[in-house]
Amino acid sequence: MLTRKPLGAKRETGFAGVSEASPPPRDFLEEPAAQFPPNHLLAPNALRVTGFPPNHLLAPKVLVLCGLGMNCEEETYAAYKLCGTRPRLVHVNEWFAGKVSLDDFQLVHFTGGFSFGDHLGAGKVLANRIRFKPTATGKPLIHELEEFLASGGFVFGVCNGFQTLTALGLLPGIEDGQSVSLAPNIDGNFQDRWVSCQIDPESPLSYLGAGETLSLPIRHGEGRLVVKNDAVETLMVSKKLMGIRYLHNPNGSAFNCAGLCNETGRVVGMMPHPEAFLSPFNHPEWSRKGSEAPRADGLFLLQNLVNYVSHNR
Amino acid sequence: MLSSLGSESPSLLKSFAFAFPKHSSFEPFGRRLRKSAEQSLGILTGELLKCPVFEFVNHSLSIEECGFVREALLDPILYEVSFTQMRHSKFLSSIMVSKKHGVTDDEGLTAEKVFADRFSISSPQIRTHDLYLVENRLTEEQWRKLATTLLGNPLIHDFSFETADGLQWEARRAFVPTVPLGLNIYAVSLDTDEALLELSRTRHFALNLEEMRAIRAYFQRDDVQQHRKAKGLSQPTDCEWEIFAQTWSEHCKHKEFNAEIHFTDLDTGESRTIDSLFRSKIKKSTDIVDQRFREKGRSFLVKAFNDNAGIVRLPFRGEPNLVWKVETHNTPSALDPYSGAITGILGVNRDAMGTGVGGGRLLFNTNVLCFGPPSYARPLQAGQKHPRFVEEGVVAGIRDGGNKMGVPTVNGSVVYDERYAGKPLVFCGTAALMPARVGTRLSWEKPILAGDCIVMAGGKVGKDGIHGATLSSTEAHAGTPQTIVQVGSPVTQKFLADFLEEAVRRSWVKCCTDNGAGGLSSSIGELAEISGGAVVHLETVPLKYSGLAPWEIFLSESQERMTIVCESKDAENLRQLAKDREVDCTVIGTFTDTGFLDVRLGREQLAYLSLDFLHNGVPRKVLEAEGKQAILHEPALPAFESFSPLLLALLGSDNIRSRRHIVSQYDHEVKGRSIVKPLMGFDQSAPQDAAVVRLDFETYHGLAISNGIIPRYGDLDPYHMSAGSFDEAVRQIVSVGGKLPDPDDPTTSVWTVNDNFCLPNVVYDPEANPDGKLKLGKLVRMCDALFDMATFFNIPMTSGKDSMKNDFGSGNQKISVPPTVLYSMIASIEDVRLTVTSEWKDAGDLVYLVGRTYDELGGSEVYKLFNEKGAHVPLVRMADAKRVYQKMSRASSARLLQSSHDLSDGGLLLALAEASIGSGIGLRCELPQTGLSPFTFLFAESHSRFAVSVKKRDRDRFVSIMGSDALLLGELEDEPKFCVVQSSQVLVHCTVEEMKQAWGGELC
Repeated sequence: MLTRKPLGAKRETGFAGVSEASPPPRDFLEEPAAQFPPNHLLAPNALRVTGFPPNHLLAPKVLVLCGLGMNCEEETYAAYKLCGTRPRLVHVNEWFAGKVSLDDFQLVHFTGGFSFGDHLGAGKVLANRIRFKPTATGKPLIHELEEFLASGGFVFGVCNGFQTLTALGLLPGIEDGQSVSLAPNIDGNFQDRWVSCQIDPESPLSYLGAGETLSLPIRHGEGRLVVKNDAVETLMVSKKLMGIRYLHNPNGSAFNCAGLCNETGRVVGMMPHPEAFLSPFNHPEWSRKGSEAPRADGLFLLQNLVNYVSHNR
Repeated sequence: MLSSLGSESPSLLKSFAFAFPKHSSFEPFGRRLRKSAEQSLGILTGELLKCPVFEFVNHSLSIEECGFVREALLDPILYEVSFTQMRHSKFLSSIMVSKKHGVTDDEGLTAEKVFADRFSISSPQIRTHDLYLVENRLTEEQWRKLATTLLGNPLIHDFSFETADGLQWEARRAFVPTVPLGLNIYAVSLDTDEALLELSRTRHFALNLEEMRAIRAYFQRDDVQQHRKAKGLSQPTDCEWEIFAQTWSEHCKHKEFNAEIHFTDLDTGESRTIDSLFRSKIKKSTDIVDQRFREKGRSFLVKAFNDNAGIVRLPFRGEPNLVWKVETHNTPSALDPYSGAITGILGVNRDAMGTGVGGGRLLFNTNVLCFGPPSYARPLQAGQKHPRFVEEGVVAGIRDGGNKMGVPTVNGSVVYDERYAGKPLVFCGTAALMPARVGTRLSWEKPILAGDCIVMAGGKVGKDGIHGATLSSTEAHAGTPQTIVQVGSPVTQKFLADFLEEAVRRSWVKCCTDNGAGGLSSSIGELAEISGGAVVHLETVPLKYSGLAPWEIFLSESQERMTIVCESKDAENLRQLAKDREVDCTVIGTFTDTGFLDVRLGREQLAYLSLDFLHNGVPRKVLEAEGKQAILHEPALPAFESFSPLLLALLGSDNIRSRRHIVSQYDHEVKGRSIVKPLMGFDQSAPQDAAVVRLDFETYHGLAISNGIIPRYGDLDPYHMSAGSFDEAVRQIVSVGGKLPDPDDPTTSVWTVNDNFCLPNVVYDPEANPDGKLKLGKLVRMCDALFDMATFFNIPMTSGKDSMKNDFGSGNQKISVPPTVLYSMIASIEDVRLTVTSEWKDAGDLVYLVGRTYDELGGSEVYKLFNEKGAHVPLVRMADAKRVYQKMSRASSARLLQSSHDLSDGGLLLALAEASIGSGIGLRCELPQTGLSPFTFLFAESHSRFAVSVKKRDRDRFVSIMGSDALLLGELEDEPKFCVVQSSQVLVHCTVEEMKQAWGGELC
């Protein structure tokens, strides 16, 4: 697993090494190869080295869903490519038409965006379609998805993808049907802002970066986790399923929850967007960088996911 | 909690499903509305709860269906569903808001999909409503006010009201389509001018007498009468009149920018004739700039002015084409702010998607909004909305349009002025990338041959937006017909955009264009010019509902539609792909080379018009313009002991205060390429000068995007207002690290600008518009400045737009916008990692002022605090500006700039304050003696200046580059205090926290 210092989240500390004595802050751009430690994220083409070499046998096969209003597919695709996998972009309706089989993949990514325009509640309509619409085989897709999980597959959802997974009942997956919901933010506003969140080292999803504090953007109007009842809540807490938590709650989410997994850790959903932080230069504070370049936390998280999938399929 | 809703009666028809939030906190919108109602309308509602309602038209739900509705139509954790309208003792009133029939009900359509998915049969028609439960008992006056200002818009909604004790008002009106299908010939005699004018007025053609006469003359031509006879036509049909009206509208033909203008300078007595502002200023400046680059073999201009958007070639690997367009959507935003803005942003998306072959990948959105101030206190006229509501609606529209399409909103601006209280200005921009080639075709070309198919893709056609093009050419008033309001559907457009991109990639599309103003009539009319004709079969066009007159089908501006051109062999492929992607897509006609636009409904001939006359027959306008220097004087202001109170007042003023509450609603991260975003820094409160995005995930090539708009200078001098706005756009890009274009430099950056002019009516009329000549004179001077600036800096216009009737009301009640121009600029950036942001970086850094300050307080924000205009408008000194910008680029390339912020609203002191607010870093500033008073030095808004910070160790290198163009001001300090002194006199002294409080924008 990659271990590097997280990007300075607090203003007071700033980035390490910012002082008169340290090397000029912007000089790392001049001769990248000479100055970067091996596999440094900023070194040209180094991103691929951190993952698998192209077409490596161990690189998991990733299905990235797109279409029907999802809209983060370009950067999600790029992210998995940067992680060394060969992702495949698949329109949801191609999956419905039986043109792809989940058997060929180890990881299914439910992409962020506004499936069906968030009508009737975010993620709701796409989830309904997966649950209820018969496919060519006569069975709804939820069966294929459950079989995929039973055979050791991974499902990862971001933002609208997370909302879809909760409406499907796959998250937290401790009882049949839907047991949690992502309600409108407490202030009723869509908000785009960068937040700090932490990965619980004891949660089944800790492989995403145990104990790490990550800086990532949230971009949603409906991200407030609401739990159906006390029984579900108690189970979720005891099994440590709410594995990614905001340091400062931006939306009224229960338990400061930013991300959630099922018991096996094979289904994960999160509101913050890791695929929007693939380069250190996405961060709102990148230009305060010192001699040490900040880490692209989103790529870090996804790389950990890909590595874990490759070792646990 | 809403748990005791009573039992449901099984015997009732279950045609409605009412959803109630299980907890009021699950539904935060009601709480916001409650606050708004109290603060803005003075109506105390008590608790206010918004409940979704589904109506199953002519259908009673079975038990199985009821179960499905409970579980699937809404979130079962958040809502409980009832099939009869329950009373709850807590709520004494309820207001139902329903979309008028014919208005797009997106949510209802989606609900129908959900039903069809589950039951595998076609769904009953589902309509959605919003039911607002109100704790207090409202009076009729109260509920009407609440409903029509906060909950809905009478132009697109119906309202009904009930109280717990059974009082009811206004059941929803039924919609009866009354217009019979078929041909209609207006019973109008063509002989008299009065009859022609009457026809133009009553049918909202917005054509003047001369134009109507030209049309009459066309129909009276012998050759025309002969070929019409062959088609079974004689008198002009309604469809033909409508086609003329929209094709010849100001919106489409830019009649004032193409007019012959006689300009007289009343001060000097000099006069000149301008042969079309568009040709002699806008296009000519672009031709000159292009020629300079072309001579050196470095031309990057691919297409300008003759497609939906301009195209430039970027100097990066693969030479991708950048498509860039900025548009206005003012009239629709005045009628319904939310719908107007969302269709504005979605519409300009389609412009970018419909350029060249089409299917360009959208890269980012921008927007600039001009509103009346939130504190606007004048009495509202009929049909006028309070600026606060206009702003709220417009911002929400921009938000939903951009966010739901997945296009990042990277840059924008909001300008407040009392004169925008009648009509707001809503500028929406979109850029897209296209590869140089698509298959074997050049991506920017639009090849069409006779025999190619006309395909309509996207939404179905309804009465939406009929007459949009002609109405934007007239003044808005209370009687403006409601069908011109278009309702946007970002999800429909996202489906369409994905489909189009895929279809283009598979080479099934020859080219396409957007269905915007004028609908099919405009898109097909324009494309038909390429092949030389078209036949359209309106009976094939999919409709939302029956009852549209044929001309309405052809003219409708129902949104989210593109007209695609394909070879007949690819039509079936397109249809199949569209079906797979859930997009409506129909072949509706064929291109021909007959020279005629031929529109039919079944066997009925609706229109048969010469394309040549349609596009080139509009009589040219001849207009009078006058220039006159405004009479101005400098105010005598009291002496100030300290500028701290002034600084804090300015920080909280409308045009300067934080925009974070707006910006944070826009997604600026989607697509993962945003580098310099609207707000940066440790708590994202530092406003930036220009946005920077990278183009892909493999390289660090990118673009810088900026906006220049300073309408308040126009009251002093329109020429310098326009020049200053242009300079503002340039200097913002220079500030982040852009390099000016240079035809002699083999590695020159590529720059492109869109001009958008918004003016009140400039056509002189002794009664209705007595100062029309002076207004047109201002436009002439604004265009003079455009020409001078563009040719001096070598920045070509690639696209643009003019909106010419921005008046509201009439007579002495008329509210006219100030003449406004927006320059929206893009420059290529070789390496985005070298760009510079505006906030301070570290204590100990030195702060410099770059560029010279003059005694130029005219039109400044500080004078506005005292309701003064002043006399000395800031001037652009072009040669000085260029020198300073080149030095800035050198300092930036040498990585000497830790931060850079351009000086604009509020002058030097505000730029310094913003950099401190954005970083939390303090500043101690010792003003040098410059010969100007400290007041002037701190608040003057002279152009072409920057506040920059530099590391101490870089001081010598920085000074050697800048020479006398940089003045040392002070040093950054750890302690967050903001202090400005001059010769030991303290001028400003406050904490960064105090400034931040004044500026606002804290997120909760």
